Amino acid sequence: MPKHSLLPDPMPLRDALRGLRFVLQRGGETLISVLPVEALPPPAARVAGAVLRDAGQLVEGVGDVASDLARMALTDGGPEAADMFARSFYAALRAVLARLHALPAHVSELAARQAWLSCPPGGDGAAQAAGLSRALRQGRVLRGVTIHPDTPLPEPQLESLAIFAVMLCLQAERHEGDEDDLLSAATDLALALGAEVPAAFAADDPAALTALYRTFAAHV
Amino acid sequence: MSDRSPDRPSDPALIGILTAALPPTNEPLRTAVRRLRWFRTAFARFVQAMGEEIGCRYDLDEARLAEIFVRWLRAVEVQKPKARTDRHDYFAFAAGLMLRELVAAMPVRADAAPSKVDPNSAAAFWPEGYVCTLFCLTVHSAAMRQEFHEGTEIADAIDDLRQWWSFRENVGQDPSVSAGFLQLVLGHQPNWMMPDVFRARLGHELSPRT
Repeated sequence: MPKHSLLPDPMPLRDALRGLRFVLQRGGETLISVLPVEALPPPAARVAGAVLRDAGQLVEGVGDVASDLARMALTDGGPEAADMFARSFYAALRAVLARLHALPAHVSELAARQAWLSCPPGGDGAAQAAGLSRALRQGRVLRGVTIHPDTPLPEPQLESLAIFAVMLCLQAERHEGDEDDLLSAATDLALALGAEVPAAFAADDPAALTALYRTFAAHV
Repeated sequence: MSDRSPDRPSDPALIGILTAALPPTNEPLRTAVRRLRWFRTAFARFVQAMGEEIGCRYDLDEARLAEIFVRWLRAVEVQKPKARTDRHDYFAFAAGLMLRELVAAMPVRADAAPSKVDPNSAAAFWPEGYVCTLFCLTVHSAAMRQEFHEGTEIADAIDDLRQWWSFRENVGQDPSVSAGFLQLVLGHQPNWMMPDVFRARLGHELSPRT
């Protein structure tokens, strides 16, 4: 997406447009529940009209996920890390939700970035992942899903399971060319854990989440 | 051309064909088999290859297979021995635990009676149990060859339909029977009281290792 000269940070606008797209796909519910609670840049109001007239596609393909995940390491620091994480997380979460038959969905890239920035570095990968998972959920990185007859879980559990699957994937050892398989395997592994994952999130128990990541990240 | 017989699971040529169905990996098999993405690909390909051999099609429940994988992983970890001298024996035992989880949850279903085997063969009698057993034997055999440079001899018991009758009849009441059955077909004498408990294995059950 070309960088607008009035927008030093395009992420809030992307989030706003994706929220509008989600509304369109869901069929006209109230905008209030899906717009980001953060301040919406003024240009978003102008382009909203354009989006409503011409429902643009802002989809990132799984191929983008593959390259992003390949570059990504959970414990990476640096000024680009937050944006890279947010972009990778957005695409990976959508891929996981597709496998869970829960699209269309509204995923907030901005919330993903803020979750990253809110988590102090330190600890091993599993502890980092647990802290980040909680921050992602608290930040409402998933702001709406669509439940179908073949969606395997109800909405409250879906969010925690989907976040868990992506975080599992980010910690897993990767081999060239198997990123798509990695995401689907991480999703299936998360599902196979049944109620353990939603329970760990619901209990807001970092130790339980850390233990799950530590046990299973090597087995995706 | 090898004169293999899918009626006789002890036939090395059959195991050889089925081993070729396992996906390649750059990792040791003992590591790859504990990654879901390798495990489920291996199982799916194996099931398809077996179906072609015996003349039926299997339907696979991938979600159930993932649950089986998690249970097996945990079971293997819980009983993993600390002594390095037990490592060799534990490979066979872990294969038995895998069969236990597969048979207990049974992620495959044959769509029809196999058409390419003797109606009195194990494959015809219980195609689902048959494919699960041979999968475990094939992976175990490949891992043993890689890890210990050993071939795996399969006991004649596997060709005995009465053993399969007993296996199928008893496993419904006691899932641990699967672990004992696998030990049996590997030529060992299981502790039938607790065939899925590694520490309870009989002293003379497994080959002594020095």
